[in-house]
Amino acid sequence: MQTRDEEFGEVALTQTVNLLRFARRLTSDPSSAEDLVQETLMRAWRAFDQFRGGTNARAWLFRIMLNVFYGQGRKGHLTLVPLGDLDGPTVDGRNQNLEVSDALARLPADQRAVLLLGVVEGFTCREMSDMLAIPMGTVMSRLSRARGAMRRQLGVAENEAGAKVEAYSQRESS
Amino acid sequence: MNCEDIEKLSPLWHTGELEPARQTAFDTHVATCQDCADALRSQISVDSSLRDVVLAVDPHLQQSARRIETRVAAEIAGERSRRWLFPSIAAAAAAIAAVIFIAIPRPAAKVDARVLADASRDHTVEVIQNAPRHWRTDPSEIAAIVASQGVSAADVKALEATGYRLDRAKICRVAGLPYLHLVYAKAGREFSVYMRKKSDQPLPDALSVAGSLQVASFSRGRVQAVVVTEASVADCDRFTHTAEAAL
Repeated sequence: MQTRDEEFGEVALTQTVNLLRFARRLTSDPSSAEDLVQETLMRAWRAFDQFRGGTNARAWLFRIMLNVFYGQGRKGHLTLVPLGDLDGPTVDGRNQNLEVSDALARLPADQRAVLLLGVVEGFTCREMSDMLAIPMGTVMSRLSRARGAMRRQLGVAENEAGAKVEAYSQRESS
Repeated sequence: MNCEDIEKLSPLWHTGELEPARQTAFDTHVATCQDCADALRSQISVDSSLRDVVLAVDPHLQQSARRIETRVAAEIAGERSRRWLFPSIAAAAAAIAAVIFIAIPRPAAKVDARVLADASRDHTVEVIQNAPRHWRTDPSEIAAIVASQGVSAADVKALEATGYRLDRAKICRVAGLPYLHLVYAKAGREFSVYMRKKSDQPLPDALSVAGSLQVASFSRGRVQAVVVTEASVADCDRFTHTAEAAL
């Protein structure tokens, strides 16, 4: 029989890295991100009796985090990521990582959240709709706008995207 | 379905949420419309760049996570102890609780959970949705990319003991690390095997279910691998155990 601590460890603490990675991009500040994750885990602990085993623990935790984030009046807040704090070495001598991070940071928080949840964390539109308590259509339009803005900022023209994907595949297999 | 519909529905296409009839109509339009095909490729390119950057290996992330867990453990212990009458006893209890909490065995913590999630997502996009990718089907080309990852061609071949033939291969990134993405097929049924040379980062041995997908993983001999399929749990279990035994 597992204790409550053991259950919480398995359900929630295994997600700490995922939550933190998301929080760092969402808040654009490593220190704020740590605070956000800590508050998320504490709220999860206090509400753990309401968590039903077998349900989607990741979605539950991300929902709590988003509630904390928006509850702090950060809706629409826009700050630039301190790039040097978040990114590792550059690729091929270019600032590719910085370009992507910068483009992401320039998105409105609402769009940045769905792009990270959908593309990086792998949540479906339905899950994001439940998580954010907004209609599916709103999730879809935010995702489309976010992808469009990223594409424009990264200068990925549609007719060159195929070539970029191909070049990426070639580089990976070389 | 027209171009406007494609633009509107593309978020559902990316997440694999289109109903079968709409999926077919979507694919039919994209196959005949260069503009929409280019737009989707552009979106895939942006998504890929974003994943590469955000999921890049970052040792500071792990350190920060451990720091947070320590603080959470202390805070939880503190909340409990505030109910106690004597502060000194409460403080001691908080310290002990923090140590116990941190020492709780967490089986999944040994594993980078992103590996399974990433592999599932990759299989959905590249195999189920058949998104445009540069697959290698020529045996000599497959041999070249297998060798480039430090994996033995014999290990790749050994998995055909499952009764499934190696159909195609490519290199992809899973949880920020390069993996061989090998697709084994038989009678229209496909198994994705994400294989890499065995590393210090262990994978779980357990079989798990993610939505309509079965996901299993194993480390055996010189390699570690994640298996993703739409086949049944029993078939996935059989494939995985046969593959392990063959290595």
